[in-house]
Amino acid sequence: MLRRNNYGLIPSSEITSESLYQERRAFMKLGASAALMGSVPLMAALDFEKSKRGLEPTPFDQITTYNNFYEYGTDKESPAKLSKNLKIRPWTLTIGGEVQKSLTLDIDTLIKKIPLEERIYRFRCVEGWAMVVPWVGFTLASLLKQAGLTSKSKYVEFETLFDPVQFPQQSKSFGNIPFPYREGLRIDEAMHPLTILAVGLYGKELLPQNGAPIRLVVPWKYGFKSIKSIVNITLKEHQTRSTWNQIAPQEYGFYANVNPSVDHPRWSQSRERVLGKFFKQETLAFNGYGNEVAHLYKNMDLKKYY
Amino acid sequence: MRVIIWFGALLPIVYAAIRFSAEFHPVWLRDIFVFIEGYARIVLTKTPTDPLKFLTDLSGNSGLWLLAVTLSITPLRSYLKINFLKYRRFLGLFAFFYALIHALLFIAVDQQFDLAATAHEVITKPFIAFGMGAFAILLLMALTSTRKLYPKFRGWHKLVYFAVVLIAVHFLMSHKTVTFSHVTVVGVLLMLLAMRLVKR
Repeated sequence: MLRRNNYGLIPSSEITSESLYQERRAFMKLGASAALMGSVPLMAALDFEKSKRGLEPTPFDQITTYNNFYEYGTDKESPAKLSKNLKIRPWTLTIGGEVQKSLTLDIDTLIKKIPLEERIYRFRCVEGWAMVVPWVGFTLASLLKQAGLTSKSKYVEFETLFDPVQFPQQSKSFGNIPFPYREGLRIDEAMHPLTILAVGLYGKELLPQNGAPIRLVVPWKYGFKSIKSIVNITLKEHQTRSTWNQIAPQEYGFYANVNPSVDHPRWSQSRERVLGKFFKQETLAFNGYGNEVAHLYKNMDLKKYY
Repeated sequence: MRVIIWFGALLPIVYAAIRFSAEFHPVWLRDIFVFIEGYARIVLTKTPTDPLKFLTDLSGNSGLWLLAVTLSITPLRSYLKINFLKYRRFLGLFAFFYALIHALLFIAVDQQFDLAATAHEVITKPFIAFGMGAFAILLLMALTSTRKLYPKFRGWHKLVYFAVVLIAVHFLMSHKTVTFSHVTVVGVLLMLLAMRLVKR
């Protein structure tokens, strides 16, 4: 059953009927087999009530054709074009490192077992563009609790699938980032109720360009933290690797919290370009989630730990 | 020849018009565009998702390439003995035209005409400073390119070589990673400069 959560300030006018939830939930389960058969006719059947006020989700077409997924190329259009045949079943997700019990999970079993909910979140890219995405997923905390934390579980590292046959750019030695792509969170960030692992958007299974079959979503951080197509989650005692931070630490911090008052060295972060709109809008501190997450960074100098 | 230059130099504007009118294309036109998309690596049937970025990139790249064409007049003359000198000013002004759009998009739309904020960006960010520096040079050249002023400011126009270097760096800095195609573009610009040093 899909639960709707108020994170993301969804107006009541947007809340969808119970039957539609059931339908959607059933769809989520069906989605796997549909993807296997390479057909997607079911997807068109579901539609969301559009928001009348508050957060207006970015159109599906824009969310699914304007992507950063360097495994497919450094431009925004390649991921949608080249990712059609990504093999997302079977897919195994491992959770290991400093946990009580290492887990190896089949994605379908996981989706069937764990309650899914929708979260309509703002998404802000470090490059200065932004959108609003209706994700479907579950809290990372709920999964990490299954593995069980220990006193040494202080950071979480995520890793994208490394498969140069499927990800053409992973075999490039020049002109791209090092692979596999890695990202990390501090444990309190990872356990925060806003932090989710998404398996769908707009009530449908994720498309490969959006990080199928499972991706991280941390709405108060720049988009590059929200790593796609995850295969490994490793709990660590010390600060983890973070790909962009390793390439250019002066430009991309480990924390990467959305912060309009800390500029990127090449552009201002005070405003953002909402997809489909010509004029920019103000960027909010912590991407508008300050009430929920600012306390995590209470005693930190955010100009230093950007 | 003049017609060809007009046509070529205005292509980016035609392209922008096609993209921004994508929703209103009649079916027959859309069919033609889809056909072209099947053969050429060009998008014609989709409204730009990030319109400000689209126009900024398009104007910047158009200015860069038109400047490259302008700078190829001299090598064409000295290496291949083809003389297009009388079109150089015309081409240069088109390059400036796109640089002007590029700079105005930044000042008027990106910075919302907040001149203090713009100045702050120029001072604190080398990426912006390089671009603005190059624009200032092109502006000076455009203003002094009249029949009357050019003889007096001839020497100043040599600054264009410095502008090209600034533009090359600005171009490289505008991307998150440096790819082979970026290096190629910069290679072309630097080659145009090098050809002037090698042979007189």
